[in-house]
Amino acid sequence: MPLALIVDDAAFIRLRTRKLLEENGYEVEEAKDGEEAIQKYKEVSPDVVLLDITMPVMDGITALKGIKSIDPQAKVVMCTAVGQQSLVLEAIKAGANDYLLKPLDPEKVLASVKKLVGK
Amino acid sequence: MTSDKYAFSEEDIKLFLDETLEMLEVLEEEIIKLEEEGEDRELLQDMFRLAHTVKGCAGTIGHNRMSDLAHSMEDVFSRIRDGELMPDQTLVNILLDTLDALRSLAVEVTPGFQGEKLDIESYLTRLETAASKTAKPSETHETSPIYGISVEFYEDTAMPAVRALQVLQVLGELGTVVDSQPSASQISEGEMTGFNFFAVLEPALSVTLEQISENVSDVPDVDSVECSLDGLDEEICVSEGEITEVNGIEEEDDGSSLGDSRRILGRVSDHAIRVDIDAFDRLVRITSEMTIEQARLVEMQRRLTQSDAFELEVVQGLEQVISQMSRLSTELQEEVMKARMTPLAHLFRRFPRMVRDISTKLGKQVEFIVEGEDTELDRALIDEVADPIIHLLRNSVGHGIEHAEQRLAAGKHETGRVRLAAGYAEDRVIITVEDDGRGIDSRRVRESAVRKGIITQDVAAALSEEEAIDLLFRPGFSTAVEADDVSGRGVGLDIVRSNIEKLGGTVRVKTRPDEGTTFQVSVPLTLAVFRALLVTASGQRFAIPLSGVVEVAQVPVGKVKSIGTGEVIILRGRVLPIFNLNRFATDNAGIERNRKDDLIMVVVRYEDSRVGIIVDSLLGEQEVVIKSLGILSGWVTGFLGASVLGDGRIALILDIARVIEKTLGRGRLQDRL
Repeated sequence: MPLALIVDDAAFIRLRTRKLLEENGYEVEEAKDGEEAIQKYKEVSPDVVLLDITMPVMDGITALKGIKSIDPQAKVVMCTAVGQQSLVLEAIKAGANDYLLKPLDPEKVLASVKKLVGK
Repeated sequence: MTSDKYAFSEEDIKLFLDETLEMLEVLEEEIIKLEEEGEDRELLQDMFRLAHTVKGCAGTIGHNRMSDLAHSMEDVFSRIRDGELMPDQTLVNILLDTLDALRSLAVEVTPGFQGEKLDIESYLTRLETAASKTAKPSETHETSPIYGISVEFYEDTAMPAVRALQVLQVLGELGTVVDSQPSASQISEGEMTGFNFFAVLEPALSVTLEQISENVSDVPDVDSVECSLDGLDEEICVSEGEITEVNGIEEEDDGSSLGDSRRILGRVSDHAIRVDIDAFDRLVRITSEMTIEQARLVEMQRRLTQSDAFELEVVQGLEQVISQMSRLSTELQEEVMKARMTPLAHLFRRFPRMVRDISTKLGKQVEFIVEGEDTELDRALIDEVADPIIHLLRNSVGHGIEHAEQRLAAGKHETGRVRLAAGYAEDRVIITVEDDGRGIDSRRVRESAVRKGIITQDVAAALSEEEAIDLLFRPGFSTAVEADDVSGRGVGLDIVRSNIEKLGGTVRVKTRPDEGTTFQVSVPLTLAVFRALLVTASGQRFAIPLSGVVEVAQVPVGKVKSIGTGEVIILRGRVLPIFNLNRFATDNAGIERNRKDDLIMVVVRYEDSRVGIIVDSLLGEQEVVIKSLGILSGWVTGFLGASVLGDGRIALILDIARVIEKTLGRGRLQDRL
């Protein structure tokens, strides 16, 4: 079963996403900020990361760079809000594979994740 | 959809003209380069890009014929680039003709254009025919192809720029993205409004269209991908079809029947200069500082009117403001002058084409070298030197350079060489036109001058070599010798010299039989400011341009002699007609003969003529800024303009050529000025 890491500072979002992914055959790990995300990535090496951009302690872009430095092949989907285009562009340049707009659309989340884990 | 919101302002049209004509100029230069230096990928890429941009601009302004023709040209460039076509002479000729046609088409959008609209059919056909004839044998098909990739994203894509960036990244792995729409930097800045993306890709070896299509489709939100071999999708280039033709704007024609050289220059926007952004910022800064000082002045005036006591504080403040203001205005003047400086490249880049045309027509082989095109000159001067240089270049190709057989017979390389060079020499710019042709035979010049009645046999025999060659610049020397369209229409070197001298410049010639001829034109850096000799006469001040002053002399009244209706002074054995500045208004009235003190005379020169101007006193040399006399200029003859001196008084600036003409009563100058 592919492993997904959900990074978001809102527990509610983590919960919703976890449910969605578990129902569709994924194992799920969680982190609540960028620092924790890097830590978790080292521990569990997930197949795909859903990474929020705006978070306390360490933001998503910094976390993305950290993850990419550990594993250049890491598959990362940025989760963002409308109006953060410049941040998303920066993320894509830093190696993010895709982005998803909040509020997350279940179909799109699944499509994106599926494409990246090749399943 | 023809609401006024989409109408083009005059400003838009001007920008369109400026920009497209400039691009066409560069393109022209590059076509010539292509012929000379053969295929160069980068060069072709640039040509392709230029044609493409011209097409885009024409489409945007709604000029469909122009955009169609540019499109055909672009096709040819891409086929040359892809190795399918050979840029041989026939093709280059057709491309150059097409370029001229594009120029004419561009001019059609000028408000008030009343000429005939160009039919592009014949150009299209010629391009097509040439394209089919000159197809290269397929074995040389080694250059990699170019793919056009058109991507559409779903219309609900939240951040199309991000997707476009991802497409760019994907394409980057498959080859080199040559160009894209929106461009990579626009995308990077998030500037993308629509949901279409278009890229030109130079694929890496063994990358197939299918592969590209597959990888691009993998980017999320991609609705469709179309890949084609070198095909640029029409939709992209021709913008929203809702823009109407602009030709219809009717206005008074400015009566411009463009002369030959003007046509070569293709100049429409004579009055535009481009200003370096830093220079402009400095101007803005100076102006705003001046505004502050101005406000301080107003404040002081208010305080002065309010208090009846003399306030030391106010006076000191005034002194400060005045010194600030004078510093600022000097700075401002310098900056504005600098802004007028334009590189000669703008002018020079038109010449390779002209030289090529002339040498082709005459069946001569000429290598044309341009140097020092970075040299900057006052914009107004650039326009003025254009005609003389065109004339000198025609002269070099037409008369200087020999045909190949003659050159070989003389032991020279069969290809002649014409060099156009520019450079600085102190506060002047020197422009050199040099050829390695047959040179000028001074014996034939003497004979010819005698035959034309310019000088007598005896005088001819007494002239030094240098003086003999200088006869070329005499009025009437080269007229009527040949009025072909290569060496000019009966216009001689005398016009070249007088035009240059009008600018305060000089023309010199050096020649050696069988080795070649060099013409050297020297002009001041700028026209607007020049050094002048300040004099007084009848209580007025006058400025005499120093470039025309030969000497200043004190002469006893007794030396004045009357000859016919005029007066002359014998100075060192030379008869010098005199012009009395004291009475310029009464048309060269005579000199008061019973005065005791010596006359002060300024000897001025124009072409070969010298005249002594009688003045009351000399005030010295000074830099003067010329101001037009405006509506008065037709009324007061003999003056170039006026200048405001330091004390606020006005000095009229003498037009030496006119003063001499007036004094000598010669008709020839009159015809011309």
